Amino acid sequence: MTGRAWSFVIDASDRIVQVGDDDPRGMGPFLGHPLWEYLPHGEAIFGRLFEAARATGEEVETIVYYASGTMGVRIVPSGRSLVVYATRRTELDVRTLGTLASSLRTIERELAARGPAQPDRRALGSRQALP
Amino acid sequence: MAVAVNAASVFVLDDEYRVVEVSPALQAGCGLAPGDCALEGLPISRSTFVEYCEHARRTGEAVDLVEYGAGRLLQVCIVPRDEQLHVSWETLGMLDTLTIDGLYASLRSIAETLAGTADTLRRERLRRSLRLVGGGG
Repeated sequence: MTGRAWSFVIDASDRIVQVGDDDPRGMGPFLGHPLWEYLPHGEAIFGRLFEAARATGEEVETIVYYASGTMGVRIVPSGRSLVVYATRRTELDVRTLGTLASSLRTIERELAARGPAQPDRRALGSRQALP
Repeated sequence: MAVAVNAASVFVLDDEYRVVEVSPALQAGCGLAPGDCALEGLPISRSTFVEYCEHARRTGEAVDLVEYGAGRLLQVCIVPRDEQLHVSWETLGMLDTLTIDGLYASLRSIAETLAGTADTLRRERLRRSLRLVGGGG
């Protein structure tokens, strides 16, 4: 799925009100449902970005980790709704400890380079187990 | 590769690593069926698995290994019986890849389990060695 893009629109209460024509992630059945049913535990990650876009009325663009990889997210306020464009960038490769370590390093570099947010230092202790 | 592993994941291999018998849970989880080559469907390193199997065949003794593969930490037990190998495995830990917090927490947990299990296996090997040296049964 790396590189594939999809888009959707949510209303002021984070319900999915529209799904882009290209729907590679199978969001269609979730139309009318809260976004967090489609993205479990996603509120802690995306919620603050949505709040920022709503509060400022300006676009928010960043990279986040969610569901086995990083994704580029662009959030465009449109009236009381938000148009969200997402692109999968990198995938965690869990096959072996070697591929896990390598892909995690790539992901951490990406997250560290995204801006003022600092990389999560909790990774350091965990990664001592990896090659 | 999605492999459903649990305590009932057991299969029996012949001397060419072909599946002779497989538990329903394992067959449903990874599609291994009698006659299949088990090496094609393993979630762990093929070379490591073969090395331990050969050791079990050579020595006639059961061997345990703890190995990470496909998002899981697995404990694999290989028991030689006649010309066959009886292999069972269970999941000791799983990666939670949904969020970065979950990923780091599960990585820490797997690392701790791996360290603790390695100690246990080392102690068990040491105990066996001492029993051999001491002539115990």
